[in-house]
Amino acid sequence: MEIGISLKESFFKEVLESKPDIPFFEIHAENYLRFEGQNFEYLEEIAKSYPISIHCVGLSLGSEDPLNIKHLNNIARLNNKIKPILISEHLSFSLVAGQHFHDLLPVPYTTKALEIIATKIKQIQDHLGRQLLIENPSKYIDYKEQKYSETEFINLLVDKTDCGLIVDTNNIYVTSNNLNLDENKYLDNLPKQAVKEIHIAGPELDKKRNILIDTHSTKVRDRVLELTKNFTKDISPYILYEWDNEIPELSDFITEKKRVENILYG
Amino acid sequence: MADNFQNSFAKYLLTNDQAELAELIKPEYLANISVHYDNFHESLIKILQNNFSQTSKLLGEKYFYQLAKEFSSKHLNTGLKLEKYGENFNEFVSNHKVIEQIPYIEEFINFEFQVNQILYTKRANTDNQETLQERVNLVSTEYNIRDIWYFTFNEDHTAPKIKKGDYNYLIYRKETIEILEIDPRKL
Repeated sequence: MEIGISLKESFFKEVLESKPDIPFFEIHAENYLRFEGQNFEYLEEIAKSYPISIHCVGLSLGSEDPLNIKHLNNIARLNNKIKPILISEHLSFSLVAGQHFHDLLPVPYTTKALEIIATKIKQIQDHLGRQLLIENPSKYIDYKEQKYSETEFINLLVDKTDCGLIVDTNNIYVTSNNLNLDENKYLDNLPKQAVKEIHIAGPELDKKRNILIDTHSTKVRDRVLELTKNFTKDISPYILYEWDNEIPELSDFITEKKRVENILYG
Repeated sequence: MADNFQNSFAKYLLTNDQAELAELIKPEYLANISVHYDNFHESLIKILQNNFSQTSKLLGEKYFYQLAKEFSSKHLNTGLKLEKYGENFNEFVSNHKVIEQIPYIEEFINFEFQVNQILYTKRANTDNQETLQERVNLVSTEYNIRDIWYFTFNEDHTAPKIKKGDYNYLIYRKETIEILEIDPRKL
């Protein structure tokens, strides 16, 4: 098994020139929705040689606002052009009354939220004509009034919509640390048959608040690899190593990826 | 609760007033709410760092960060078109003392903004006059901004002499960004 990595702007030229041995790249959809310009041309070239996974950050599944149809049309257009192996979005909201907050904000796990998110997932899947994967969030706060635990909520979403899942084991590690949850219990309660992708990444310790922040700016923690290894013993999802801040040189990232592959599969 | 938590969150992110949101959060995690406030505001700074990377090099990353932080706090962006964020950043910076030390900074920032808009277009076909017109930016400056622009990519080179005059640049994309100095009288 090999691990895919995030495709960053700083990697474009080197990827095309040296064609490194990477099983797939993942992109953030919203960086490419103008469908022209230098970065889009690089993506089109790279997509000729590598499988691409599209990770969305702007569909805002948890919003009470309706889906932004123009945005969804653009995602569908990107889906048709790039023909990704996977397409995904987060279990969160970022849009309120037409305003985008460029953050993955937590949703309370209520009956109403379940209805809103399930309806949106179905709408997106119908529009794209394919399965959408949903990613569990990193959390720093929790709401007082909730009907479901996160894993109960995720199970219900899968039952209602037949969506797939990205299990971000780093997010589980971060959330469990911040909200005093049991990581193993969380993983045991997930519907494994729906898991199509695993995300791993590195967080940072916020010393002021004494919590972990999901920064995607450091090497993945050993505990996250342990969780990932145990969780994937009997399933074979795609595994992606995310790195979005303090981005290393491509060659260093590949070396780090190989180190992780050795731990997971060596 | 589901009826009001989103508005409460939005109000907090826009105003830093957490009173409404605090009612909805478990008290033991209340201190962590500010992670989301910081994330939203840092994301705006990151957009500016991305849109003005050469300006950041010219001014130094730390000073640029301070300017970006101040600008983003006064010009919150809640739109999806991030490449347009900072369109008036040049005017904002020109009201700071840095303009006394770097008098061409306002023009440089605008120049970078215009170059970036061209980066998001298709390659210009220089043989096709009609297409070309849609794919170029014409920028007039008082300083020789193109020389300074190239210098920010090759800092090992000797710093260019800053000259004042009447400069007109045509910016377009071929394989990379092309910047032609033109004489409008000859057009």
